[in-house]
Amino acid sequence: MTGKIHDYKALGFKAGIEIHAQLSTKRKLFCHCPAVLSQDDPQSFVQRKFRPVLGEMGIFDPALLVEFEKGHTIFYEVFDSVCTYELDETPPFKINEDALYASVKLAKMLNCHIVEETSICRKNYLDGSVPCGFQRTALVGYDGYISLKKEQTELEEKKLVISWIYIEEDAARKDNDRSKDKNIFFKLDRLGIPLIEIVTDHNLYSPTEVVSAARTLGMLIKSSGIVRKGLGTLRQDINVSIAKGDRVELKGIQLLDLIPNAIDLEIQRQKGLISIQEELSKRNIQPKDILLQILDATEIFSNSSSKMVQSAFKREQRVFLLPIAGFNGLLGRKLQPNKRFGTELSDRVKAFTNLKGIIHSDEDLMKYNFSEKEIQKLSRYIREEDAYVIVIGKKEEAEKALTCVHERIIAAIQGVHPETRQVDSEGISTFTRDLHGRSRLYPDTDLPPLVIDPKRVKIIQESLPEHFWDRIDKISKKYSITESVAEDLVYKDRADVFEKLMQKKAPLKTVITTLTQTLTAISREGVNIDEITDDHLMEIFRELRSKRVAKEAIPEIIIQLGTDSRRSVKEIVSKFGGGMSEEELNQLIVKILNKSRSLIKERGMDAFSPLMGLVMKDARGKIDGKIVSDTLRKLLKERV
Amino acid sequence: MKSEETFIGYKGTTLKWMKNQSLKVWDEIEIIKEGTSLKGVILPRSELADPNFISLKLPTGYNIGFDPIKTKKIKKIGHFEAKYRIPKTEISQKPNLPLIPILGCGGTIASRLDYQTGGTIPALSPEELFSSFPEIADLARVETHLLFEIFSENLNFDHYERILKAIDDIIKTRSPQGIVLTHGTDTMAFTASALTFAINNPPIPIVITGSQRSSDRPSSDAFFNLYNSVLYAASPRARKQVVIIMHEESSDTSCTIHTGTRVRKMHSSRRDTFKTIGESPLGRIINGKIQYSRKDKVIESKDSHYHVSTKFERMVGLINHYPGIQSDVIDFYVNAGYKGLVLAGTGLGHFSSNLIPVIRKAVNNGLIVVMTTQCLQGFTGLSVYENGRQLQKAGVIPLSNILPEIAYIKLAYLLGNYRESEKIKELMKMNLKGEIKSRERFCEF
Repeated sequence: MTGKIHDYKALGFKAGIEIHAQLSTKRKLFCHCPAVLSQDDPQSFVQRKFRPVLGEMGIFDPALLVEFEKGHTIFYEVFDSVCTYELDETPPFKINEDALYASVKLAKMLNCHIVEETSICRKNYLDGSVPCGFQRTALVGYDGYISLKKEQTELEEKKLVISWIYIEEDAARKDNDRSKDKNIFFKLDRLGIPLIEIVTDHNLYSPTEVVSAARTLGMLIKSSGIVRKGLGTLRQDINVSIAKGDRVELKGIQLLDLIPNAIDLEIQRQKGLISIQEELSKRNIQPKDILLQILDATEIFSNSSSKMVQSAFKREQRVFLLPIAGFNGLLGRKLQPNKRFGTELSDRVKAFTNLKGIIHSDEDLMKYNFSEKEIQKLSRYIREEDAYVIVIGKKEEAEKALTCVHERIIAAIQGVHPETRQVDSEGISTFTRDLHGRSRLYPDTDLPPLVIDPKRVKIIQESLPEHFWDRIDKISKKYSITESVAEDLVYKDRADVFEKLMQKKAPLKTVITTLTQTLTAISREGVNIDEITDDHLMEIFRELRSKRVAKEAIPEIIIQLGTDSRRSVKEIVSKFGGGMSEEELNQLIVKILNKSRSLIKERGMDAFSPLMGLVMKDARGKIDGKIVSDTLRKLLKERV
Repeated sequence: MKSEETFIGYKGTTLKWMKNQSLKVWDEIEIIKEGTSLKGVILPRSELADPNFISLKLPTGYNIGFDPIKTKKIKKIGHFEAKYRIPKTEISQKPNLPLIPILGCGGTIASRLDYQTGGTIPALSPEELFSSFPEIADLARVETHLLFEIFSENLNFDHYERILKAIDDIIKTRSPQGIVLTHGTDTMAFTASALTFAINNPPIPIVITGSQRSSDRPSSDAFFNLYNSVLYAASPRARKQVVIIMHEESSDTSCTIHTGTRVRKMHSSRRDTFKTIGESPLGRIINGKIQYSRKDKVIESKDSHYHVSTKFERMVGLINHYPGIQSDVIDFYVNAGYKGLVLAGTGLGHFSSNLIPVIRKAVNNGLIVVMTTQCLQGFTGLSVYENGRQLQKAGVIPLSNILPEIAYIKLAYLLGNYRESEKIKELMKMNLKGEIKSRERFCEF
């Protein structure tokens, strides 16, 4: 994942970032509810249907129409922590000034200009994630910058332009456990938690620059002291394009490490789409050649042994086919790992209709258990140079699906289609929706324009916290640690606890190992280290200092805390009697080896496993297992 | 463009500055500020907003205001005028469906966003509403009549007259299956009772509906309420009387059918704001089915002919009792020549003893003074306590369990249509249109 597999300059690669972060205010943005997520079961459910509204120009926004046509019914889960505002039953209250001026603070840290008077605007959403059908949002700052430092790359020092900073309310959380088919459930607790959105200019010219920008911005936000910490509180979207392609928004990238891969895969996808466009141009295929001519192919399958078809017929569904002129071979073109152009069509159908996908002529049709005869009959619908797409469903739904396919095919003749895509943990993306138009934004009628007090802005400007890069510099000098360790501490948000531990005279080497290496290693093993608070770490070192625990036991304590954060450090320590030093381990092993002479004589080094079992009986949880096995192996060797 | 439209909403030094810079609304400009600049279009501004800023729509769609004094330079780029117009689509009507005229009387259901200023304005005509909700064409042949475009707090008896004349005219000339009125919710219950009293033996169902969320919002309750109202009005099972049909609960699942004389707006903003008071609602509509919960019918007057009266007496007052109320409150009505007073007393229907002399004076001056309870639920009982007995002795007429606002409308209607004060008093005490219940069932509170 080096992010160097393409020639970015030659491709005309450009990217910009959008970062969303939850502000750590006590209450929500437009009502007086606490800004907390609920762990409880919902108290009640409210059921709603949304309708598209006519926009400023008297037409329905097409993207909103798509949501409406899915025919979803939305259920809201109501908790004790929400009020009638979240349910769209009470107009908004005055904006939360703590949140507003926190966003001003961040805007100032990013060298932005502050708008003199802002209007709360409405941004339409019809997916149900906001009960009123729009998110309230307002512009706070604009035209700022930060300098990206020359990092581990050959990158020159660079000015990242911050275009806009908005304050807005977070949306409701989708409840995937309850949602089924056309009934979509949302938890209302997150709705209304203040969010800031930072939008950068599109002046990032390589994945390395994007990572550097995302890291620096993310760190600056985290170190500003105004945002909530923990998983999912900071979300970044990346807008990517190449010269011959178009703007695609990549959403849901939680880890910085994933950025280069996600970008490279998107470039690969756009290149693939461009090659399809070029091939079509060679074949002289025009949009007018692609007809929306939907055929009923049900009869072909009247005696089909395909279980899929049989069960569809039982539900009174039919088979529909759309011939696609001149597309032979193109639906099978690979765009990303396990994703072909056919997958793009299928993803779109899944997003716009309630169908599960499509079948197309460039894939192995035997996997659907179609007979050779059936496949042959299907191919009679088209010419050799054509392709076809099949959907199985009720007539209306199937026609809608094939209309989607038709639109996407036409768009492919123009090359890359601007859209929003969700990125998975491998960096592979899936279509979610077309990019929203601007017409879905309009002023909120419920709240008057808001003057941002210049006096308060001035006070904020004069008391801005130090930038994190200054802090790295400071702690590296003060504690004589290398800059990369200091950076690591700051990036991992452990600088505060580090300084506190230093004040308590905790052993420097152990502290650094724990904060920078142990925690990371444990997290890689899948333990949730977000649950490990600064207080936990302080307590661990207090136990260490009073010799109730050996330093070798620290990893095990952290693992146990990560598995169940409700337990205190004391509880964990008392359970395994304070841990074990290497010296104590040595003694234990010698004792066991002495007792097992005959076993060692009989099996030699093969006695390792049973001996390890015996040692671990006493050592488990008290000292790192690797130290145990290393020591045992060493001492056993001496005796064999 | 008319000259006053060139600077909509701007005044004072800001207006002067704009004129000096020869800038007007809809000009596309670039403002140059210390170290930065912004592009946008100048928007009209609300009269009520801070006069020191100029509204700008940025290319991103966001609106902001800028202070001209803190602006170094302005560059005019162009002129761009946004016109908001909802197309009036012709919907193909199905000739075999029943005819349902929709009468537009303003309110949130017929209001829309003013995209330029961001305020809600009562401007959506029923035609526009209909083009937003084409599904209604599957229920009925619909025709729309725009009576007026105002919010319901501005409605008065003149408007009731216009509504009644329009209803009468439509019934006589168009022979519809039913009529639907779209109306603001604030005073909807007053209108419902006014129509109930004024229309004798309506030959068709008359439904009043509205919305708590304007129809420019994706979450608006306008469609669901209007759809169910048209469905009801077009149904042969609908009762030939005036009803209000609105959301039954916060969910978009069912609507309640309320009798026009026992209904009240009980929440300032929730969708399920309307409640029938003191009895169970007439019925509900769920999944397109009408379910009645009561068998009783509206009392029909001896006069079984359909006719409409448009007369209401304007000089009627409604007074709530509160601790410390002064007698000059009543004096005012007497001196101003009012003809009727509805009192909303505490508990069983009490007014402070201090006021009894002046109430007596009002009665002696020929005013009809009636008593209701501000508890809304339960009966008046002026024989239980001394205060009540004194009030009765002073000539106050206790009105059983009628709602105070309904009593107000009823008294205005009777004073407008009858001369003899004894007749009016007798009719006030009688249940004419379901406004007074003779018994209250235990479960109805």
